[in-house]
Amino acid sequence: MTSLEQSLPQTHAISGGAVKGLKDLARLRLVTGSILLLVSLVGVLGADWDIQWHAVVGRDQTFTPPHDLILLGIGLSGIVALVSILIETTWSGRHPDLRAYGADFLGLLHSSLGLYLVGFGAVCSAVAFPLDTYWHALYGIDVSLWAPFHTMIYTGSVLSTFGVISLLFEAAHLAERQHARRTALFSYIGLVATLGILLSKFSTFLTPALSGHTLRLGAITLTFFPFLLALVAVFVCVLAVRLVPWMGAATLVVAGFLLILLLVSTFVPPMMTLLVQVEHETYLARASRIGSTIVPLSGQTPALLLLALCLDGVVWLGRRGTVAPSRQTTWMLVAALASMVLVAGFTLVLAGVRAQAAPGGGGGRAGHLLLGFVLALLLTIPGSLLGHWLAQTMSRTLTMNQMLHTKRR
Amino acid sequence: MRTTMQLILGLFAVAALVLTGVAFYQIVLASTIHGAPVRFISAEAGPYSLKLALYSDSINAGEVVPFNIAVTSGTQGPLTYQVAATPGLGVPGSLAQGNVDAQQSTPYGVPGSITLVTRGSWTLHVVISGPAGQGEAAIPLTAVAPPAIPAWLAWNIGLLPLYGLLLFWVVQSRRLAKQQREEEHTQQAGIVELAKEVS
Repeated sequence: MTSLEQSLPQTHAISGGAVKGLKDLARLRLVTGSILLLVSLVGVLGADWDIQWHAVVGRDQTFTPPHDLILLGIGLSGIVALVSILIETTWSGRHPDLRAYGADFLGLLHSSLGLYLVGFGAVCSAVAFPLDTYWHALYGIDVSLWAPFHTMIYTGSVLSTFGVISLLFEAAHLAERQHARRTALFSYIGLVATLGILLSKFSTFLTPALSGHTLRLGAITLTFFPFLLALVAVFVCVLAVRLVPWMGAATLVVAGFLLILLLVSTFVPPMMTLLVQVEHETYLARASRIGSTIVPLSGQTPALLLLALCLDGVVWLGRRGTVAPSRQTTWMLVAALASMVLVAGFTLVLAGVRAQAAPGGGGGRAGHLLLGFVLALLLTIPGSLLGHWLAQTMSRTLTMNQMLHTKRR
Repeated sequence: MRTTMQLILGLFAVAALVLTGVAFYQIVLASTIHGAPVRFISAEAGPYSLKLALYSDSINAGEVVPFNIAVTSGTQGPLTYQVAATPGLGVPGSLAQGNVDAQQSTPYGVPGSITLVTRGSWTLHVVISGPAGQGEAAIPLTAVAPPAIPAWLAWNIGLLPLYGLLLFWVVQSRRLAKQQREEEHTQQAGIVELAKEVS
């Protein structure tokens, strides 16, 4: 299958003098994206450390080391984005040809659209931090991760991640057009890693669904987790196969996600123990174990891998010509649904066996699981369509900006 | 339309950053910049009589609370201090550790700080160790918080980034669709013109 990236038309003839500028622009976006990727990783580590800190120690002050790490991530992403925007603005002032590869902001700034998104996300997360302190002052330390201002911090950070994805996609596209193969290669590697971080952020935000948050439909109580995971996993994997022109892009993203889980599980427990000793803290009575809160998510690995392999399979068939390009979106949706049927069916069988083994049986529970299974399948559809739509918007934005600039000139 | 939206976004970013700066100043720095203590609480910690000096009449939950501890009896020799606060019954908080800088001395005693993260009643435990042994004082304190905003408002503020993303997506999609239509129209007009020229 050809990715959207490859199908972009060559709309803009570049004068010889601007080629070096374009290569530099691609490199700048790659470097900025890579720094932002590392900063995102710092944020992910800080977030998981903080969730675990809240679970076993509590919240004893606003500026704990995990909070500092999260704030460092937010602050650095804002500063890095701003510096890069200013550099791009200066460059586009010197080389007007570069204006085709960015967007104007108030006629003052000219830069990649992705960097504006990173900046907006950082501002939202920064604003949410003191608001979260206020919320804790009102409702205490046992506030769920699904609280208004935790959500604001998270959605701000997800917005920044979308910005980094857009930035690296633009860098890869620019580098490919200039035949700067190494820059393109590293941009795509960065893109895959950022998509892994996006999946990790989504999964972390889903952790409350694993413990207690349920949906009540009359007499039936459903856990949110399976269908929310179906939505986000399908969304990220479809985005991966539409943006990265490599075979196995979705599987690589899931592998990246698992590496992040490994990193978190290596980092968080020793840091928890160390910090408790340094700060002379005591564990809460309810705290039973020190570990990573998001690592239980690794239990979903078979589901994610199966989904990714199914989508990559469609891409593979597309490249062999078995699936027509015009029907790939439909086939991806079918692949996502098929993998979810297998995974959810397997989970259903397991749950049924457990229910039978449990005292008193569990006939009613099987019915609840069946409904959850159907909802998971239903949410696969918007997940797939959203992933496709976002990738298409990003590609078309690149093309249209260049066409518009060519016309104006 | 586009410039207006950009202007609104720019103003939002500047205002948000200013407000965040003010909030962080309030949470961290405001408490360290203060004049003389306004409230004194006397207590007994075993063999030591102490006076706790606070710099504000009310203790704001979530903010750093500066204090001074002065041992009033004529104790000789070095003293060490440990300060912690436990939440009262029904207050959803955890043990809060305070910091005391025993190396420094002010006219009101050794300085320290603590954060009571949640509104409600707390007990400040001050443990003093010295030549006369160890003693603990339990001082009741009450932390207050600003009035609660309604949950619907909090959720709408919390979802602002999502609203921003959706708005951006919708505007971008509409803009792209419009540009594509214009492009197709231009191409069609070009083809018709070319056909006319050829015929």
